[in-house]
Amino acid sequence: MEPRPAEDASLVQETLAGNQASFQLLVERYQDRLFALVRHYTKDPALVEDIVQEAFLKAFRRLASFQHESSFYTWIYRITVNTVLDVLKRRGRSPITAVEDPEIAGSPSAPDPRVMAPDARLQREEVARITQECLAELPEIFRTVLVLREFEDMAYQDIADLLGISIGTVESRLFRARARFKEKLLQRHPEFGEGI
Amino acid sequence: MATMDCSDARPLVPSYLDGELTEAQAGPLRKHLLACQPCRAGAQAQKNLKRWFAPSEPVAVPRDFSARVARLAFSGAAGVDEAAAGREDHGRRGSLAAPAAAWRVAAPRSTETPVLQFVLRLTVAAAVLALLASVAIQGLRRPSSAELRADDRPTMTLDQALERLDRLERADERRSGSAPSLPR
Repeated sequence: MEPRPAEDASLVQETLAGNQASFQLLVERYQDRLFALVRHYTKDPALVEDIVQEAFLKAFRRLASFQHESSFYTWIYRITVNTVLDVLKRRGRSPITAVEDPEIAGSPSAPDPRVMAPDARLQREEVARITQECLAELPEIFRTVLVLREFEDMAYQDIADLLGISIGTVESRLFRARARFKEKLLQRHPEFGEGI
Repeated sequence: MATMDCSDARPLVPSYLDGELTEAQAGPLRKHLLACQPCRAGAQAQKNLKRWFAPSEPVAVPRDFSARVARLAFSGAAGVDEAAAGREDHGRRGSLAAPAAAWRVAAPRSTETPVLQFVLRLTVAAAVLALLASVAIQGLRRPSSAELRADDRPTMTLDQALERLDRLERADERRSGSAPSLPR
């Protein structure tokens, strides 16, 4: 469902006035996209559900502070991404070390291997499985920009706003994230290498 | 339209493929890619990579999810971190969250950290105990009104006191015999 800021604003006001049904409508409106977003971080359906629920409850508690400077969708999205990252951090997943930070590490010096597009014979589920396996091995900062850009089709500016970073940082993270993804893909499946 | 060389073109390719360039930037790049086979091959490789991020099957959302979340929200469901602590106990297949039924219900509040809440509650309890102890100790040490009285006679009214003074005065006069009385 596409975001509808005007209707969202009304639903937010009604929720703040104590209308439970309005909040339920807000949840219904964005639950599919948030489930899809969180699934890029964990394969456990129960955990996906719990994280999305947690994000909505956080949003509810902070609803009075929602300033309408961004759309409700951007706002709930930001809360969900932060919730995912918090949860993964609590669970010790993919710690971000200084050497992995693109701002510190600079540009990669490794040769640029090329990959083929997914073979047409591969089922969509198989492509998704391989991609998720490679994504799971990336540090969170790289995985997040890739998920937001490639799966959620977000513009650089929106990613920057959501993560609180500059557009230049988004570009550099994406650059390194793609390089790392490519490395993982070719490590796991060298048959998809092109000319190597 | 301005021409572009490879060193200018290559850094722009990712943004071009992501649809982030203005037409003023994209035009010269397109022209360069049409003319330069190595850059075109590089751009094609980046497009290939992007095809690995094809949309996957939609995720099944539980039918009652929105109703449950709204109900939890309006029942004042426990804070996220509290719930997370509870979840560790309930351990839904090792997942983060406990089942909704296991969420503790509490009044909405601004502080969300359970440790902070515990410390706050402890501080309030300690303050109340200290106040009660202080009052009790002061009560023990403070002299009672009876102890503070200058004599042990029962209190008397003003009339009774004046009458008593008169009596004392008359007694003194009787004892002294000639002493003049004070004017009344």
